Amino acid sequence: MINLPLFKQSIKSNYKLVLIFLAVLTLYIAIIVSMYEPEALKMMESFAETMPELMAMFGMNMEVATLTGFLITYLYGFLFLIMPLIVTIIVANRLIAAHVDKGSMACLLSSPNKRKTIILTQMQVLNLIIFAIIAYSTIITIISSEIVFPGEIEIVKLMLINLSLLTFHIFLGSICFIASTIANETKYSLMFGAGIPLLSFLIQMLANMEGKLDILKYFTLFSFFRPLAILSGEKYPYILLIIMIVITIIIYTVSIKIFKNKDLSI
Amino acid sequence: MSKSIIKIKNLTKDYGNNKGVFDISFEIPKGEVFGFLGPNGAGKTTTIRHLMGFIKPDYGECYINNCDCFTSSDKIQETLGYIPGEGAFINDMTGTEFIDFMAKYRGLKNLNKADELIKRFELDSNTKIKKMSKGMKQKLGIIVAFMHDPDILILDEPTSGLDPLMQNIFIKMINEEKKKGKTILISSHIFEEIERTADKVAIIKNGRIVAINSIKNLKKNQSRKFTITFNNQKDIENIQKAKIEITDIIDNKVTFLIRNNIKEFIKILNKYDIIDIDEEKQSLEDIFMNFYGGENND
Repeated sequence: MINLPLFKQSIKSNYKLVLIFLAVLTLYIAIIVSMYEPEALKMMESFAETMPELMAMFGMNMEVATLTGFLITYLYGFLFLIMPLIVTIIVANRLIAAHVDKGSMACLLSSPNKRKTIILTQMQVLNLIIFAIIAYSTIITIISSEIVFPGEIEIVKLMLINLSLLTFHIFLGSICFIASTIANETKYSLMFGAGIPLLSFLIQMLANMEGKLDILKYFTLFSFFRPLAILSGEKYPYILLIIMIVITIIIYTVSIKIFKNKDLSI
Repeated sequence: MSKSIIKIKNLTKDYGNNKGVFDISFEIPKGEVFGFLGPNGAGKTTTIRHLMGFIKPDYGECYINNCDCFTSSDKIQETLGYIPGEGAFINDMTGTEFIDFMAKYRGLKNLNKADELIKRFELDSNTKIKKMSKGMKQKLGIIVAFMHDPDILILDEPTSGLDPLMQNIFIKMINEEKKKGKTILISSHIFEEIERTADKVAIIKNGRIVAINSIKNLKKNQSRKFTITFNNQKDIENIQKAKIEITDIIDNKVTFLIRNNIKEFIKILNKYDIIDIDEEKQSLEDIFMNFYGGENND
């Protein structure tokens, strides 16, 4: 159902960007893991005391007694949400909208390949890239934790959290992708593909600040990802996970339908 | 089932503001070269986009090999070669990489024809596409359109950006392909280009087909304009009495419209003292207006 040469080509034009982000992630993960020290923690806690709102905005508002809890607070509150999202936004835009905008979609369509094959191929490229980033981050997190603090990390819980993170990013990816499919120009693709998730993140930051703004958590996509609830063994994150999968499938199905019937002035 | 390879019936696509194409119909039988002529923005590319399956008609139908152009484009594309109006490629590749990619992408294993074309058009294919000139990109487009030896060719302003030498090579190639029985649609805004290749020509203006005729018929009725510079004013007065149609007089320059009376014209000119003779290049519209103006006076 996919076209392998196109798949390879799309990977080829995006792997450099992905590698840069992986390098940055490696660095950050290693630094954050090594910061799990009583002294550094004290410093963080004093930060939290002096500027509770600011720390809360970045999702850093829980007790950080265990290494896993510490990592959830400091990696999954911002870095693991935003870094893969930026890659997703850029890549999703390149995969469809940029080809239409620049006209190179004409090359792709003037071949014995169905539109469905083209869009399925590009979809798989995006999903593979997201999977690679999350899988790599998981491995680096586990390795660096095991090196610095052997036996401290709760691997099963961490895997479950990362499964949820992967689903969440694929879900965000589907939004970027449908924006890329609908738009005829890069600027519109980015406006919605980046706009919706980033606005959502902004709302999430506000919602994290306790108080009146708490209600905002019902207006952000980021409420679908609940790492702390997974850590404390609650069941509802798994329901959210299934809901995300269903919505993702719907969005991708609609994307295919739209692209198949779309007028492309190329 | 129609014998025509390409068939367009009442094709309409309205973009508003009188933009788009309206009620376009024509058929191209196997082995024919069909010229599609019109000024910029007349609707040539819009019509071609329908044939390529990029856009859906508002009304009407397009078929290639009896397959609907939008729903069966993948099947049609197996035996079709296309040169886009604006060379759009995947810019971060070199020419060679692009050719290799397109070959693999469409499942083509044999690159002999591509190599042959690279030589024929003298393309330095190791250049990054980003850095290529317009002419180089056009050559690349030609190579990719012809490398799988398609039976049908849809060429949207294929010679734009090519130097005259390369234009000649291209036109020669089109005539070779024609001999092999290929069906070709070639769009252009230059009559000469169409004249040298096409059997039949359609002219499109403001989204509507104004005329369809064979090149033979057009040429038979072709008229020409000559501007003669006379030495003295008296001659100008005299020549106005001759039975030659005059379209314009400016100072000592007189423009004549010549249809099938060139011999007579030369005989008459012989009697006068003339300084210069100049043939005015006829625009496409002139040619068609002469042709149709002669038949039906509307």
